[in-house]
Amino acid sequence: MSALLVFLLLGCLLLFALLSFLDADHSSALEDSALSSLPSGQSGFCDNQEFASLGNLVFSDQDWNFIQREQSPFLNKLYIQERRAVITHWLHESAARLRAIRTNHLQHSRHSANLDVFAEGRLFLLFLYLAFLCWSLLLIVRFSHPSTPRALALHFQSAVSKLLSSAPGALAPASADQHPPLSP
Amino acid sequence: MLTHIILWGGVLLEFLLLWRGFRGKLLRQLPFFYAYVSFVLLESLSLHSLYWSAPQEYARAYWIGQVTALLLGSLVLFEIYRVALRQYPGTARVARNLLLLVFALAFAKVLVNYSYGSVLGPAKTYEELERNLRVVQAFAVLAIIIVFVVYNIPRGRNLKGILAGYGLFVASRIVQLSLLSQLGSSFERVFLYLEPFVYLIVLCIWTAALWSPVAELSQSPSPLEIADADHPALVSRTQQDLQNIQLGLPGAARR
Repeated sequence: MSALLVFLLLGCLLLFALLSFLDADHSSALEDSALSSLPSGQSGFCDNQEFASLGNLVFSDQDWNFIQREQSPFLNKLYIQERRAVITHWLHESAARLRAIRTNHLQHSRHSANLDVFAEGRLFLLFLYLAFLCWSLLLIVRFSHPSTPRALALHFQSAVSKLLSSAPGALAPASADQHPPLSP
Repeated sequence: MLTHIILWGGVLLEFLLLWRGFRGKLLRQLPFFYAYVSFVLLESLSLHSLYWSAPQEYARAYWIGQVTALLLGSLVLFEIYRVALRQYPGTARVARNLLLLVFALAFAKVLVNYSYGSVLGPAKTYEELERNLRVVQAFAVLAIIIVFVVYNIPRGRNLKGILAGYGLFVASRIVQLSLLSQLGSSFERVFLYLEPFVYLIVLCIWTAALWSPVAELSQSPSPLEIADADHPALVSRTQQDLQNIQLGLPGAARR
């Protein structure tokens, strides 16, 4: 009976994949138009440096420490609401950038005669990893204090750095000036 | 009566499909697909005559015909891969590796079955043999679909119709044959009607999709896409872009 269940599931999976395949033209067209509307294959409202520094700012503890010093429950509540909204927007933006980079990469790599399947597989894992990070941070921010994602992001940072540096043709790790030491 | 309607409806659609293929010059573009349709047409007619002339031989001839059609069907999958990915050597390489993986896993399973026996066990009947081979085909179809969707390969109505129809056929065969080998004679009566009925639906999909040839089955790459196609450079550039994302995300951990 378990074998029958496996075969039935496989049949259903194939049907589901076929439906997605028939529907995919529409969604990929949307993705293409989304990508073409973004400046130089990237999304959004600012360039990479601005975007990164905004990331540093929205997760920073400095503002929270300042608000706490005021000892106003109203300000605390307002800060948490506002910061949660800003972080959510920033994470959505990160996810959109990630999708745009992935689409751009796939559109060009399909023409590569010298495509390295393993490098492609590693990049795919990296995309999955970063997308997972974005969505987990979104979940955490929604249900906890906006400063909570710091620890998780710290863990992911080291993991992603390892993945990037182990890939062939990987970039050299950024200098200490670019990456200030992490606070505990 | 219903069996006759389904049978002759199928034969009519197969003739129509071949005629439209001949008129639209699709036979030269998709030779394996039309060879497959021609084989199924001849098989249907010969099985029908065998059913009346030598009914004791019918069952054996039916299953041998099914396994042969299955092997020809695998060539149809190869044709989809060949035609759709002609302009995309990178994607073709990924698809080749995925298909090799599917066949290597199937081969490994056969070896394991042969050496140790397994939960599913080796095929003891024609229907089990066909079901097991269809499972391999299902994984091959899934691999092609994944590659098409992930790499956003443009596909014309013709190829899309062939893959959708054949995928539906493979999925329904796996379900039907599994139920047949599990439930036995109680499902046989349903199977007798269900199998040709599903194939009739598949023929309708194919006839609609291949009624007229589409101008291009694959688009030519733009000069910009060709210029950016060096893979190591492309990987390096993508990693640079990801590094920028990473610079933002771990901002959560800094300060």
